[in-house]
Amino acid sequence: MIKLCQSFSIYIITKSLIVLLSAAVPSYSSSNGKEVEAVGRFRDYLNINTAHPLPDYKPAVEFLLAQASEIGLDSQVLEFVEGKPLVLLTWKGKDPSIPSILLNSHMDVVPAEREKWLYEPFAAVQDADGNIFARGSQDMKCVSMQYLEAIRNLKSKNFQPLRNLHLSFVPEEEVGGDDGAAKFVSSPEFQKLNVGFNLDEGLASPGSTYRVFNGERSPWWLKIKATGAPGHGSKLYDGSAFQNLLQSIELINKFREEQFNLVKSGAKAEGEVTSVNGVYLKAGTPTPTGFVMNLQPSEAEAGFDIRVAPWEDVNKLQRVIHEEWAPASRNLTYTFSQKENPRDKDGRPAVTVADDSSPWWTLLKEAVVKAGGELGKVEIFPAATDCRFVRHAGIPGFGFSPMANTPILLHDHNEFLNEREYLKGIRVYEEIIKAYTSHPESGDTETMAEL
Amino acid sequence: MENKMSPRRSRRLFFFSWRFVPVLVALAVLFISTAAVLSYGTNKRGEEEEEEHAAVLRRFRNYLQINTAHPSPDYKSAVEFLLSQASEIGLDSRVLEFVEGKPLVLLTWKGEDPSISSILLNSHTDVVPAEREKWLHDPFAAVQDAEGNIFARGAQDMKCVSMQYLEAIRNLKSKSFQPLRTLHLSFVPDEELGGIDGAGKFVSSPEFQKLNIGFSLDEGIISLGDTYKVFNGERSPWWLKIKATGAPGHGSKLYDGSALGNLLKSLELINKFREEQFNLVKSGEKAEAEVTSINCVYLKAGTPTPMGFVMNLQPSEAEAGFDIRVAPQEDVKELQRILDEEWAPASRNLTYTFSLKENPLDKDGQLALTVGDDSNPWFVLLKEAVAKAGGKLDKAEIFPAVTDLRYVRHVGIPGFGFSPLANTPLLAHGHNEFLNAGEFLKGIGVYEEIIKAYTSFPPPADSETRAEL
Repeated sequence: MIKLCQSFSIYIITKSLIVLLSAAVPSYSSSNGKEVEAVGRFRDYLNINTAHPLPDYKPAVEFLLAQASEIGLDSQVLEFVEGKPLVLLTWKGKDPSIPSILLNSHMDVVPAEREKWLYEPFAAVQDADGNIFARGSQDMKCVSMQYLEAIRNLKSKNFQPLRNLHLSFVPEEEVGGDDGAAKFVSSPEFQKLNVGFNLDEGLASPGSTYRVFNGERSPWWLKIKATGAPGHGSKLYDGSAFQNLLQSIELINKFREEQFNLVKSGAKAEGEVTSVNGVYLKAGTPTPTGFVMNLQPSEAEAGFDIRVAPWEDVNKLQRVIHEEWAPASRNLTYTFSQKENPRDKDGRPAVTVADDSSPWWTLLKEAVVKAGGELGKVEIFPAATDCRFVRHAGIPGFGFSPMANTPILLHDHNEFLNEREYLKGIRVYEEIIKAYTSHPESGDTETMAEL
Repeated sequence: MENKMSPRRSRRLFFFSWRFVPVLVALAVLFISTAAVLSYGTNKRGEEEEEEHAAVLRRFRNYLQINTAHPSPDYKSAVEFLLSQASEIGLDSRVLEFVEGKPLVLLTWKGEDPSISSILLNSHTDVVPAEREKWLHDPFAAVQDAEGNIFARGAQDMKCVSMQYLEAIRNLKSKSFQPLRTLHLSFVPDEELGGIDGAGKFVSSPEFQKLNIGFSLDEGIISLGDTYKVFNGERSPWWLKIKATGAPGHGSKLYDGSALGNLLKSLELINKFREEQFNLVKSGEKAEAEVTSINCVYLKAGTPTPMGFVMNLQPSEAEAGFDIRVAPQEDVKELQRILDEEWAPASRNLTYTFSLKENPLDKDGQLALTVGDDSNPWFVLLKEAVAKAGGKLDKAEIFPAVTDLRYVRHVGIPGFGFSPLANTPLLAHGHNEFLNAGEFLKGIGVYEEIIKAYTSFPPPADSETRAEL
């Protein structure tokens, strides 16, 4: 009886200890210690507030250099624009003469409205389901850390790459990349890297397959301004600024509807059509309480976010803008505050081959499968990433972020990534890095040019 | 030699003989002195007239030089000037101030029979601003050029009319005219801002009630041709603001139901209505002021930045403002329905407000129109007075915008909008507003005839028409 009581007491005490200890750690626990550490490092990086308009890059740079040091990678800090540093890490390959692989990611994030989040956007709180809430958890600190964790794992397994592997952590992507990736890609330092293939961000996938992108739509940010005779609000006449602008808006809307109908009918994917969306309107004389109500203004403006599909007839589009949307004959003028070229430096659509004729494509597909995932159909990225700078320079690349079963929350409130997805993504990158950096140089010169 | 001649021949010979010379001299002296006296008289009268005209123009220019432009009109100086004119001319005067800082001058010429309804001549003292850099001369210097054109803000709208009223009365008094009806002149503030604190407050005041106004005159519009314009009604302003909402979205995303998409649909429908109305005018079927006009006055959508606007975000709100002028005969219920169901329906996520919404009907639910044809004795009198003064009156029209007359019509008192100004381009509210001295002086003569006719017009015998008049 006493023996029974004793063993029962020990049982109770042990159980209590376990309960007490469990209370001291989050209720969700990972399967092994290494993974716990990986998640911890991810959350550490998320804690660094690199949000615009004034991202603090310094602690991010220090963090990444510390990682490089731990992992055993060569590191450089480049600063093409003061206050906007870029971290470049290198894993030397056995044959540095073959073109290298570049894994790019950006350090900066968009702002977050605290009052619209469940948790502090930079606390990286992990809830009971394992979801890690933070600005940047999808876009795109997850990828940055997954790259590093994958290398950490490969090194611990004594893997040796054939090709050089470079990792660039760039600033300023969320504001257009001009002072980040753009300056980097056009620099002599980039030239020296002899990049043969590039990976950059993709998008979360609510479904079970990972999304992959082989091209982008080029942003053309168009502002049109109509002028006309001003007049008393009561007077009917032709040729007012508003009338001129309205006609343009109607023509633009007709074009938009035609494009949108192609998507609605299923004839084309969203990334394959050129979209035009209104983003602002401006006309009238402001007063302290509103606007002057009895004066027809002499100027009226509208702004549009145009995303040009890679195969769009750019000359035709330019002509349509010049002759129909904003013709001088109707007293319109226009400017572009941003106008990316959908063609690369050789005049070809800046799209990377994404079928079985390309080893990079097949290697990616196989690597994903090896890691237990599935790759979706290739798409055109609906917006813009830093990948475009590399493609413009004639270097192929894919946009890819291994996040499945995840709602798309980039730039939104309560952006999160589940721990399971995060860890699985690390395994995916291990396979990709193995495959890409081991891929030997092809014999024939044609594919060499591509590679 | 024979000396025998016919009598005719001897008369003729006389005219050529030396005996005629003194007669010739005497006749010459008489002729020259008569001519001298006559021309001296004419010159003197001409000089006197010139002096009078100079004085009249000087008074006009003095009034123009008082800067009563918004946003800070110098009403005090204007009031002082008008009171001094009243004093000189011999009119009773009062200053009323319904809103502090916005005084109203009321002058009165008592009629022989104050029991009959009186005549009101209204004009506003304020003017719209002027952009100095866009004028040839200082807009408040009232410069008169070699052709007699007087450049000033208010030269057409409407200090000319104010002074023409006063000069006409001055002249009538000097001719010892006596009005039968009492004549009131009101000089009101605030008209260019909508008149709420000026004529609006005045017409709804007990002081106005006591005046027992039977008919009113207020501003018209200057005419490019040689006939004077006259207005018997106005279009009512409805200042409409519509706001569309919708889901915000990334600039690259195609989706339905954005705020701009919703607003554009409204703009297109409103424009269609506008075109239908405008086509009625273009085809000649209707006059401009007989259709309901709707013109866009502002657009507002997007997130501003220091450099312009955020370019990759489709906004969740989009607004537009419209200046609507409702024609007197418009089916207002139908217009309201179109607004609720087509232009700003809740079903398309639109809301709307009016920052101003005047009623086309008067307090008794009647169209706020004054009869503008020969069936109305006031119209006939006006026509005849203009003709007597050597001018010509156009057909009655609807005023395309608004004047203070609408306050008077809304309380059931009839009136015409009339400014005796012709042969001049319309420059009210524009740059280099001017009026020729000759036109100004001619208009004084027109008001003399009008005031004579209107203040002499006896009430009809029967009480019903009496009520109307």
